[in-house]
Amino acid sequence: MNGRLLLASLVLLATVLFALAPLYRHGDVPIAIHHLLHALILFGAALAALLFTWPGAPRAPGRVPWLLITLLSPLAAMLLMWPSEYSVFEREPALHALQHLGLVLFGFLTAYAGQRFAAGIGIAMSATMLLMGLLAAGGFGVSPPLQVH
Amino acid sequence: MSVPMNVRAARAIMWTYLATGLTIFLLMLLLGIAMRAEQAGWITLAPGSFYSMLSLHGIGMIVAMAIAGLGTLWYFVNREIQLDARIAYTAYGFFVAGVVCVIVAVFPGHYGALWTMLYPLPFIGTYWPSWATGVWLIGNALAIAGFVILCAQMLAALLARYGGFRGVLAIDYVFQHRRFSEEGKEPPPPQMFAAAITAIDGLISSALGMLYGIAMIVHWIDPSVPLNPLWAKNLIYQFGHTFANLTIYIAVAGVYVGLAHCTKRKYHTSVPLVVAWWGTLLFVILAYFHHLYMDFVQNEALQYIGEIASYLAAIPVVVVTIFSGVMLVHRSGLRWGLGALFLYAGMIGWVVGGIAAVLDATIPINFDLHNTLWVPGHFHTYLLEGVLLFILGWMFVQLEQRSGTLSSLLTRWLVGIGIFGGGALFVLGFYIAGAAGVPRRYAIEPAPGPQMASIATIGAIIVLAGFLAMVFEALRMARLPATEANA
Repeated sequence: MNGRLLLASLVLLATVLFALAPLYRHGDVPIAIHHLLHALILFGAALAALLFTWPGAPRAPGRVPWLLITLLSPLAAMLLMWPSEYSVFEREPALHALQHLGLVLFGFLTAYAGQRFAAGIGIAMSATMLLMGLLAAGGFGVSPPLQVH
Repeated sequence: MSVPMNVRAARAIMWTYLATGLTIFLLMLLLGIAMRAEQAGWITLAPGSFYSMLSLHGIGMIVAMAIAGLGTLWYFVNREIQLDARIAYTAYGFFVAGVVCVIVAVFPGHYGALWTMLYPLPFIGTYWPSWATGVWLIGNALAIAGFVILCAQMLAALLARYGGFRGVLAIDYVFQHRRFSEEGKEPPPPQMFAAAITAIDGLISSALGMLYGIAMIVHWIDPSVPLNPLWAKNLIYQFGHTFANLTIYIAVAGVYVGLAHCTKRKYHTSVPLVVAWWGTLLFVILAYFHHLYMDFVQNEALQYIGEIASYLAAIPVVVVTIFSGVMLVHRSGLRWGLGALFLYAGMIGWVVGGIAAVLDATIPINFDLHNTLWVPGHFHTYLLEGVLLFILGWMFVQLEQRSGTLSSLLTRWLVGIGIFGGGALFVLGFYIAGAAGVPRRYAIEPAPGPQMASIATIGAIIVLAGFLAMVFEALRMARLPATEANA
């Protein structure tokens, strides 16, 4: 195993261990902080996928299925960050860990499928996914009370 | 002479996108005329219908121009590196599915919270059923997905063709110009900057649009999930403004290729052009802050960023492109067919609409013009007299080249007076009423709104006549036999 694959494996392992945190660490986390922690999971998973695929990604645009996977995975990740689920997950650590593993999967798929489609697209799609994850902390399930009814 | 399979497939895609975009445009034009006629008091629509039609008209026009322009841009990129046609058709499928959903949300759903779908308006005090809001949101998400697919495909192709972002953005061409030239390298042609900036900014803003869409869909299914209204407004305006703004940058690629073809000269990439496009790349995604000047809870620094970015996103690339375009035409012996006329007139519309936009983006002026009819004045100018004309210009350059003929003088006058003259009369109604402080997005307006709406309705009907004359002329030219050299 060369150094790059070793590093990719270590990053993925660290991300999975971090994702399993609900199994060994309990406590309420505000929704905005929760979103940011999820963005960190997405980042780790995407980074691992980029390291795995680097530098063997095809230069010319590839097949449609890879493009659809890299398009849909960030959307699936955002749906997994459905804010009203968090209170349920806080009570069910195993379910919570499973949700985190789903984020690892979708983060990884975004980068991996993007790079399999064409070099650079995995990076671009990972960056936009990370942007979505970070921005979610600003208002997805987080708000001052509405003044209209 | 036989046409290679790749070229035929690429042309089929371009014409599919063009025909779809222009058909949607025509339908939205009819809706627009009906709404202006109601504001003028000529007809009476059912309560609520105006806002449902306004929702469809707003999103329909932008998507129509984007579809038509993207088909052309895809064709230009395909000339540099062969693209997979199946991906273009996949994106097309997403666009069509999105358009169908949006139409269903409005007819029969009566959705009426406009394209902005500003949280929490689509959910509170509505006169339409909840499912219509859901279908509207899903339709928007599908259309954004189509856009992302094309952006990703074009970006991948450009990265492969020009050797990564450094090559695509011509960084060495600018900073190591002498060495770059001595090594015999060529920077990307101008239309590829339009493609690159569309793809990069399109991916960034689509991420924000998708996040907003998902958050809204989640709230629609589970109303216990709150959203931060200011956050929501920032997201939707970042996406909406950028997407609308990108339509002109998508379409301007037709000027670079079409005008060069008409004048039989080359539209060169220059250092000022590249730097101007860098400005557009950076500042288009920040300019939207000018939509939030009246939001007192928005961070004040962002308001100034919005003003500066509004100037820097538009002015450099407009100045360089138009100066180069005028130089290209000057003493070229250009024969003024409809293609060249549309492209040249489109540059005028781009300047007028652009100046009106940056005026409104200037904070002291915005105090008076914010959310008045001045705003639709500026975006109707650059869409109707800029984006549309660029698209029609490229379309007629193709038709004229294929048939080896130009339209008759009478046809050129009829189409020109219709689309450009009628269009000028139409947008004038917006500008005068806007300057007088008439608010936008109202079915019933205070004076001088109805008077100006009457003038605008006449202008819009003239545009419709000109557009139909253009369609007949395009169909006539398409049926002419192709010249042997241009088959």
